[in-house]
Amino acid sequence: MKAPPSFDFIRINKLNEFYENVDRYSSPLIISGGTVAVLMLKNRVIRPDVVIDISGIEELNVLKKDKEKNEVFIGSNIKLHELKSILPDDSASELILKAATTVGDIAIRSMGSVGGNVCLGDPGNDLPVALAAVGANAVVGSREGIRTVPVSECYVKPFKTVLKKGEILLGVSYKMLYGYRTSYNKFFINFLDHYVGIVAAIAKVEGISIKDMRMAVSGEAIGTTVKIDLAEFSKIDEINAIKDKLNKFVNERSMSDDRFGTVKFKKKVLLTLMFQAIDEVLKA
Amino acid sequence: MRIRLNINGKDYESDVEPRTLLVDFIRDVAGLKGTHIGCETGSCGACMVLLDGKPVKSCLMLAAQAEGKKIVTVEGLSEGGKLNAVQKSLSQKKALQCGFCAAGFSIMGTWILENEQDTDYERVKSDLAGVVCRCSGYEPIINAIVEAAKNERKD
Ligand SMILES: Cc1cc2nc3c(=O)[nH]c(=O)nc-3n(C[C@H](O)[C@H](O)[C@H](O)COP(=O)(O)OP(=O)(O)OC[C@H]3O[C@@H](n4cnc5c(N)ncnc54)[C@H](O)[C@@H]3O)c2cc1C
Ligand code: FES
Ligand code: FES
Repeated sequence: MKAPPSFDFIRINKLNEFYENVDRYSSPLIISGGTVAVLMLKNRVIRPDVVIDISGIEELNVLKKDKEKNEVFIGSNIKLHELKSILPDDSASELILKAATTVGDIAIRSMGSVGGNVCLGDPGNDLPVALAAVGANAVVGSREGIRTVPVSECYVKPFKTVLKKGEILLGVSYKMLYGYRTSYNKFFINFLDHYVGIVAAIAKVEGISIKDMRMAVSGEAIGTTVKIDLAEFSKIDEINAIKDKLNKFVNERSMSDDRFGTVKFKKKVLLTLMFQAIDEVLKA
Repeated sequence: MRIRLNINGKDYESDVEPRTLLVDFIRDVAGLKGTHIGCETGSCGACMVLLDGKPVKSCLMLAAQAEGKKIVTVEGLSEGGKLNAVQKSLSQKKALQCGFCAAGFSIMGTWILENEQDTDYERVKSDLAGVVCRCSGYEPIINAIVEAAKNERKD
C-alpha cells in the first residue's frame, strides 16, 4: 500500500490566513481537490513539510460575471464538474467547458478543481489549452498583491509554472466571446496515460471573412501549452496558407523520440488535430 | 492530529497522522471494509464513496480533507439491511461476479439515479467510465443500472 511521507497539515479558510501561514514553512504544498497532489505524495515525488488545504477558502469558490467589462472570473477552487451548470453561454465558456468535460471521469471532475488543473503544469492537462486559446489570464495572489499572467505564458516546462513560493492562483479570467465556433480535440493513449496532443481553437467567421481566430496546443508531444498566432489570416479561402503555417510551426518545434512516441508520430498527431480544428472552426 | 469524520451518519473520531488517506480511515478506523483498494491511482473506482453527495475516489484524498463533510460508503446505501434500488438490481440481474468492483458501481449507480435526467444505456455507460470491472464485461452492470433507473422513475 502506498503511503505519503509525513507532513504537517493546515486547513485554511481565508486568503489572508494562507499568506500568513505559507511563509512559515520551507516547502509548502497547496492542495485543493488533491487528485494529483495526493498521488504525487503517495509516489513520494514530492516531500513537502506542510500540506495546505485551500479548498475551504470561499473567496476562491466563486464565479463572477462582470457585464460591464464583459468578463468572467472562475475562482480556482471551483470544481470541474460544477462548470457545466455555472458557466455563461458565450463561445469562450463553451470551449472551456468542452475541455473540462473531457477530464478523467465524473469522480475526478467532482474532486478536481480549476486551480489544480491550471497549476500542475502537466502538458496533458485540458483546461490550460482552452484557456490559452480564448486569451484567458491567470490571476495570481501573494502577500505583495495580485498580478495577472496570460495563461499561455504560465508554463516554463513540464510541471513547472511561473508561480513562485508564496503565490496562489486565485482564479482565471477571460472576456466573453459571442458567435464563435469552437473546436477541442485531443489524442491520448489511455492505457499508457499519454496525452500526445491537445488542440483548442475558436473562430468568428462572417461569410468568407475570418473576424477572429485563435488556437492553442499542448500535450506531451509539445511539452507545454503554446498559443499560435493566426491573426494574419482574414479569409476562409486562405485555409491552405493557414495549414502551411501550422505545418511550419510543428516542424520548427524541437521534439525527440521518447516514451511518448517517435518525432514522426508526434508531428502527425499534432498536425492531424490542428487541421481538424481548423476545418471545424472555419466550416460553413 | 485528531480527525472526526461523519460516515454513513455516524461520527468516527481518531488520532491519525495527517498523511492518512480517506480510504484507510474508512477501512481501518471506521472498519467499513466494503470500500476497496485497487489501483491506488484513481483509475479503478474500487474505493469510490460519496462526499457531500458527490462521487469521489477515497484513495486520492487525505482523511483530513474530508472533515466536516458527509461521507457515504457502500454500506451506507442500504437501510436496515435493505439494499437500495441499484444494489438490488445488480444482485437480481447477477451483474457482478467476484464483486470487487461492487462499491464503485453501487456508489456511481446511486449517484446516477439521483442526479442524471437521462439514464439511457449510453449515458450510464459514459458515467461509469471511472469504475473498472475485471470480470463482467460491463454489459450486465450497465443494464442493471439502466433497469434500476427505469423502475425508480416508474414508482
Ligand atoms: C485518474 C485520473 C485521471 C485524470 N484525467 C485528467 C484528464 O483527462 N485531464 C486533465 O487535465 N487532468 C486529469 N487528471 C488530473 C487532475 O485530476 C486534474 O488536473 C484536476 O483538475 C486537478 O485538480 P485538483 O484540485 O485535484 O488539484 P490538486 O491535486 O489539489 O493540485 C494539483 C497541483 O496544483 C497545485 N494547486 C492547486 N490549486 C492551486 C492554487 N489555487 N494555486 C496554486 N497552486 C495550486 C497543487 O499544489 C498541485 O501541485 C486526472 C487525474 C487522475 C487521478
Ligand atoms: S483504488 Fe482508488 S481508484 Fe483505484
Ligand atoms: S465483478 Fe469482479 S471486478 Fe467486477
